Amino acid sequence: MAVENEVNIRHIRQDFPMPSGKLEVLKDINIDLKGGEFVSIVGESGCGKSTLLRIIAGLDRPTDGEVLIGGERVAGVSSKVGILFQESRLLPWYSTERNIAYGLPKGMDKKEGRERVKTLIETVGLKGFEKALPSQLSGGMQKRVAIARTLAGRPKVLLLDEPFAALDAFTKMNMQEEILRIWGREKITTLLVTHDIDEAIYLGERVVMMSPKPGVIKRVIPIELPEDHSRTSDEFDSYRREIFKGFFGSDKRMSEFF
Amino acid sequence: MNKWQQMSVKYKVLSVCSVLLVLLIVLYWQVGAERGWFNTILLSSPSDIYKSFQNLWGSGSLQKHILVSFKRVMIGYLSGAGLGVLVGFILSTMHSLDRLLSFLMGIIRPIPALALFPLFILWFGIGEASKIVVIAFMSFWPTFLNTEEGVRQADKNLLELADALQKSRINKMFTVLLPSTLPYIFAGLRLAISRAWGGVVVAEMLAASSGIGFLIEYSRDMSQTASMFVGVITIAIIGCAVDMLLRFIQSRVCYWHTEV
Ligand SMILES: Nc1ncnc2c1ncn2[C@@H]1O[C@H](COP(=O)(O)OP(=O)(O)O)[C@@H](O)[C@H]1O
Ligand SMILES: [Mg+2]
Repeated sequence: MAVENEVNIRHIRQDFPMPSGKLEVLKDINIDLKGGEFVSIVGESGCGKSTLLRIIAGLDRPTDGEVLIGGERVAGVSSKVGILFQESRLLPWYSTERNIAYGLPKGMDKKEGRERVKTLIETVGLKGFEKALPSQLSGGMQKRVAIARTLAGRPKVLLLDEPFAALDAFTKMNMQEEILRIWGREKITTLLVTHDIDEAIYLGERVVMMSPKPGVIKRVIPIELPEDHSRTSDEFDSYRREIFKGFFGSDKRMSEFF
Repeated sequence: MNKWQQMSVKYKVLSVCSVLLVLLIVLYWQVGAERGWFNTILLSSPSDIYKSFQNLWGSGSLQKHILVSFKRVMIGYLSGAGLGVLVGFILSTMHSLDRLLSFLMGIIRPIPALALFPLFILWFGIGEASKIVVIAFMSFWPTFLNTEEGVRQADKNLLELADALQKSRINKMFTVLLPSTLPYIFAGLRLAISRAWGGVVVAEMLAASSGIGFLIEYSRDMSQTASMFVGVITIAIIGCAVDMLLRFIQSRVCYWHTEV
């Protein structure tokens, strides 16, 4: 029996038809996530990261291959999977509260729903902004509403598409801590897509490196950091070096990045 | 909230000037009429128009004409525009039906409503029905086209979000499609009401024994230029007031839309 929240990505290929033939976006992607595992995917823009998440979420059909969640083949969207899109995608006509409630499971008890929304607002630190419209919130706050909305559905599998890319460094670090806390508490299987190497190392138990045209997996690096995940530790630095080297070849060019 | 307080000085000055401009024109008009700069048989002076207004209002006939026209516009407009929103929604969400009807719609749409008016009289009689139908016809198209465009312009990302959250079609309609279409619907409603006002006046000139259009046409027969102006100005004021009312409703209904 498969664990309810394990994810198997098997031989995923995705081609998009183009006027000049077909565009190969993903080619033979294989990743297995154990139940409750946190995996980061890093890769440059355009290598097919969002496309992969959309397939896992059941929003797009792959040209070939399959995704299994808890041993069941993904054939469409399901409440088991929560996706946080690259854009916040808040309904402009809804307040913070109602936007978060929009993510509650169907047919949930009203009172219970209200309680959950209230708890989530506290979790993402938006107390006092319950009635605010998206246009009255900063980009970072909007992102937090979107995160709360995704969590409102209590997904077993969480897909995060560059969730913190648009945030300033401080908000970003706070949100990263928050995600780790939530993940630690709820043991949601999490797949994070990012182009921020530090973020990938900091959050992931494994880092999947992707390269583009067509999108393939280049390497998978298991991450073992000291308990506090300190970003300034030697271990962290050596992972950073390893990934840079993986992407850019020589150690020399890498020094230009620091 | 207070719009006036938020305006920059430049805009305040310009707003005041735009009112002054109208006053200035009226003043020039009055002085010109008194000094005989133009023929007052063709262009009555503002004071004559005001006298004529007092007469028409005092006898209650102006109110009666306004009420009659207003009723025709409202019944025709509400049914035509309401149908426009409904059909716009249905066709833009049911693509095969839209395709099926596209040619038929394409043929009917370019026909000027007033060209159909004589036919409507033939079919529905010279009474209220033919006028209401012509106004409904006029109000239908702008609302229909705008509603369709609004649905087409709805944010694909939000619709996909609703799909990812497994919302039903009906739920998606009310939580995403309708709100994002509302600004377009209001644009259509505003366009339609101005068309409807224009339409009622012409219809009343052609075939009616009451209403503002009739008042203008009748005054021409009687060579009462000033009364003609009373009719025209009444239309202008009511049209302006209705548009302001619609804009107010829009700002309340589309509360998240800042630039109304
Ligand atoms: N629906 C689509 N049709 C055609 N091409 C697409 C479609 N979706 C994505 N692509 C292309 O696939 C490539 C990968 O896109 P994406 O998955 O968004 O990359 P990433 O998220 O890694 O930046 C891009 O070249 C993009 O233009
Ligand atoms: Mg992307």
